[in-house]
Amino acid sequence: MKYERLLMALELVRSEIILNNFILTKHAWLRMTERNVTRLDIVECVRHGLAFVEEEKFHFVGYDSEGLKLKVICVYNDATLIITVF
Amino acid sequence: MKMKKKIYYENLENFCGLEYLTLQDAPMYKHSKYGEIIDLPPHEMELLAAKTIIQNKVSIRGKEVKLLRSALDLSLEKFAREFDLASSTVLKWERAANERLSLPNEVVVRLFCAEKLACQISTQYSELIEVVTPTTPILIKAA
Repeated sequence: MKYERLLMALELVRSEIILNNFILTKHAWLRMTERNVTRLDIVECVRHGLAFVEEEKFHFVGYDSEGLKLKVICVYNDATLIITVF
Repeated sequence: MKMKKKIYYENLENFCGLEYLTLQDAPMYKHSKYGEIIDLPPHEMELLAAKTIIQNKVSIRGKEVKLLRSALDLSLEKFAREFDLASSTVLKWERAANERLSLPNEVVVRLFCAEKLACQISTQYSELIEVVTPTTPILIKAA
């Protein structure tokens, strides 16, 4: 039951990001600027990347358009919030 | 009970990774656990930056191409197809982040993006090739 709930939450977060319904922490924004990562890179990483859950955080591991490894960490807190990108 | 967000405003320099863009008065709020949060959807921020690039006749480098493509929500393949190019060509442009596109490429990318972003630009050749390399920050109003 717990596993099914986690899976549902994961799919909710994934679809919210794909539909552009998310916001960023200032930290995530700065990391994106430093690494030249765009919103589309995040969406593609979340759409095609591997996902796992750690406590309340959702991790997505994939690649950006340049083929570099990209990790997106987010939580669901009223809305989908991206905490960091690296 | 839901906590009310206390909004404050801050300037974001190097907006969208572009050293000449500053977003003025970006709405922010503090979260007890996750720190400062930007209260603007990322797609909206990218559209603001993309329109500013086109309207201010900023020269288009790899960095700008990547941002414009993201703002238009186009994959490498779809973006490249618009210009009858291979996606590897667009990827090459984007990897050369600080390198300006060749004049013909810059002109067609500018015209395409202006149309997609509904920006009014002159189609006179002499005005199309006249581009600016910003030396002072371009300020964008968030609201």
